[in-house]
Amino acid sequence: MSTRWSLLDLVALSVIGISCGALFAGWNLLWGTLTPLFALLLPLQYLLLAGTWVIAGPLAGLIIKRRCAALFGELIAASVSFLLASQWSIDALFSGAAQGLGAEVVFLLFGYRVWGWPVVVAAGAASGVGMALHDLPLYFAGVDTSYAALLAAAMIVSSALLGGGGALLLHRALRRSGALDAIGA
Amino acid sequence: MSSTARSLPEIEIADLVWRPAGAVAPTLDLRGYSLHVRGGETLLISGASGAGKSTLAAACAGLLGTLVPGELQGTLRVGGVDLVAAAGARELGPPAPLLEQMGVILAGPAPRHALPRLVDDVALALESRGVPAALIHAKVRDAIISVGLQERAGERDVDRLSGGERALAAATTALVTEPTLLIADEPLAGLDETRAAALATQINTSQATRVLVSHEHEPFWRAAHFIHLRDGRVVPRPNPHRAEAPSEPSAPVGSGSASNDVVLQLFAAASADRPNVPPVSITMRAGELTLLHGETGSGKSTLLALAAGVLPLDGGERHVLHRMIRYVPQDPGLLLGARSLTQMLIPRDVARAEAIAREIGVADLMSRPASRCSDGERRRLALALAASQNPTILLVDEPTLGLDDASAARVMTLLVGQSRAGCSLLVATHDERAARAVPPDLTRIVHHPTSTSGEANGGEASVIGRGVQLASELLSPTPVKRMIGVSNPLTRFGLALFWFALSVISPATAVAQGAIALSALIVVWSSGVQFLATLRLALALAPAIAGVVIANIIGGASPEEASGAGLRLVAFAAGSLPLLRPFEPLRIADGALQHLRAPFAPTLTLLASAATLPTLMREARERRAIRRLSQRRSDPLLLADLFDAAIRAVPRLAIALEVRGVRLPSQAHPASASRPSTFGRADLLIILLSAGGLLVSVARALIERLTLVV
Repeated sequence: MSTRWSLLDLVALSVIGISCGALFAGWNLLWGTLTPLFALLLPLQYLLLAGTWVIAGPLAGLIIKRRCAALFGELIAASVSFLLASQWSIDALFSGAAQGLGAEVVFLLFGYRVWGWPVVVAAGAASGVGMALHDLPLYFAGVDTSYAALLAAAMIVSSALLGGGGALLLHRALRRSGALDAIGA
Repeated sequence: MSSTARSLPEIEIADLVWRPAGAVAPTLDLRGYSLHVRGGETLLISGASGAGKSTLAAACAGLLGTLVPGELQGTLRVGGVDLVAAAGARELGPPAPLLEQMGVILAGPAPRHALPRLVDDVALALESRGVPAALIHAKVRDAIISVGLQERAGERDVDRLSGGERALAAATTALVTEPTLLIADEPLAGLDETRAAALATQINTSQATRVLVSHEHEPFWRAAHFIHLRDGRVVPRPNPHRAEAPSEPSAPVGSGSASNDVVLQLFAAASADRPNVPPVSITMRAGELTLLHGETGSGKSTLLALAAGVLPLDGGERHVLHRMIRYVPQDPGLLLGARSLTQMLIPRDVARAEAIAREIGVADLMSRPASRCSDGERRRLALALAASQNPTILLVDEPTLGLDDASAARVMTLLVGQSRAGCSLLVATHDERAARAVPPDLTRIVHHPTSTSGEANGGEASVIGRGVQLASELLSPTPVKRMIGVSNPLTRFGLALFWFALSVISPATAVAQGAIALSALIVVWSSGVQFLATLRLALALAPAIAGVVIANIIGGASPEEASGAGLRLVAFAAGSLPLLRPFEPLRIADGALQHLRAPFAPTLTLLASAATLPTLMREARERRAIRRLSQRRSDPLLLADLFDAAIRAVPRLAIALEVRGVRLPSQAHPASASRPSTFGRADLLIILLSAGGLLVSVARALIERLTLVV
């Protein structure tokens, strides 16, 4: 694995991050619309929807396969979602960093060499851990431990399935259509 | 131009073979061929579309095997730089010594700019090379005027320029650095005759060694070397006279086919998406082949898109008699996307599509994904797709753009045949070959008026636009704005971080968070953020706040803590409002580069990629509209399609950035800053107000503590 980034890698990372950011912005809107429906069952909403917010990290890591790709991919996506007026405003940057860091750590543990589905799903789950570590103290500081644990579990499972699994599906679709050949990935 | 004899780079090519990553066979195979181009000479590359012309030009630019993944073998030396060795050593892009002296005009009609506004895009090539900032402005303006663009075109987005103006813009970016090696891929495509001749002269007289790709030999007849390619190999150049349009079929034109029935009519049609194009009018009659001529930038493509119903009509009238309209846009990618022709066809049309594809020489490409076809091939595949559906109205934008003579003739023969079969055609073209290939008795030629008269009312805003302008003027009057000036985005970013940190460290209680949110809002409003933006954000926020508060209460938090957590969201939002409005990515990047020493290439990459987002979204809309017209449902995996389009745009953007030299700046030779990022009164005001807000917050906390003690 080369450690130097060519412009092709840099543009690919930015473009993946920015597309994910556009997706996040749409997701923010969906989340906001559904919140009144789920207000009494917030853990369920997290379980069904939250994982999509971490897809950029695993996807960028999987496509670019370089150090820091997952972290910066998620960070760029979060910045775009912030700039497209997210309800989390500037905090989107920090949750993005926490989530991206989670995925990055998993890829690092495997030395940026193993890219099978268990690793990617694990990276998604780790992003979920990042999300829990960031969101719980900030927005749910006063809740009971059991409720906090329920929320954290919802975040992690959702991130593993939607984030990790979603990244795998997208990656496969892109490889099939031949888009990845163009960037030599 | 410097009068001292600069040593111009030489080019040596021998036994060159290029195999792109993922391909089985080489796409360029020049084994047994060698060539030496001396400094100042011209190498002209020609050949049928898909023959590997652009590939050879990209190889000379040092892009193959470095930026573009793949394997380069043989001998290729440009300006003393061994490009095969550079590819073997996995260099990241063209080696710096080559990059510094090189100017590249990329092939259209795909976008080829890096930054949205023309002046910024042109300036980028100079900034990368460290040209003193004081000189950049004048150089950019001179370059824009010298290619024949109007000076004010510089202030416009490249995206919004017409096809021909974009070709001139691409030339500007390449010529502004006065390159000693000029590589141009179809530089004249899409230009009217006068502009094409002027640009050809400019290219021919530049102090440079030139590598040109062109299907037209005439403008570059003085070239010292010619290479004619077919299927990636060098072949003898066919006699140009033999490749003329095939002899006209002598069958009499059915007089019944061209009747007086009006099938489509546009009257003073205009679209808000193309503010620089004056209202257009046209009448199409049944069985008539109409050639639409007109100067570069006169609005031909807009007329076609309006006629097709792809652009929303914001003024004027459009009457259509027949619903079977098919439209082949100038960028064939909009119609085909990444798919192959076969994938786009419904069974009913397959046989017809095959016959048409055979007629225009793309039969063997029908099941190849469009993304792996050359531009000329995609253009014909898109035409085959549209024509195979037996339309009664066929609108085609520049069908022969970038095609060699033989292919162009076949395409025109197809269009004439469609017309004879009763289809009404409207064909926008600059190409003289197109006019020669059609029978005059069947054809009407319409000269589209130039847009110069329309430029004046181009700036006229709609009623709503004027209302918004008036409202924002009332909210923040110009004298105040002028006195305070514009704040630096870095200050506003600092402000957002400051309020964020403040609300994180204070306890999540309603009083603490509320106090922060209120003082942040006061700072934000007084620093010029509009009430409307705040309101819009508040609307988005409301459900999120409600959700957090309710969940906290259900989770067992006290009401005070619950409302504190909700208010924390308000505090975050209040602090980050000034970053959202006004949103100026270019100024943020300038600030980061000049004050935070952000690395040049990654910052520019991010900026350029972000700038493609609106284009990608607009394209997605346009693509949907075009495909709806051709009866394709949108793809089931719409998301994958968006990512697909985004990733396919990567190589072109990377190449656009590369040839502007964004990797050139280093610690020793930093980039120059043509748009200085300064701090002024507005920044001071923001800082003072924030300090004031902080003081109030601290005082409030102290008073609370004191009253508790008492």
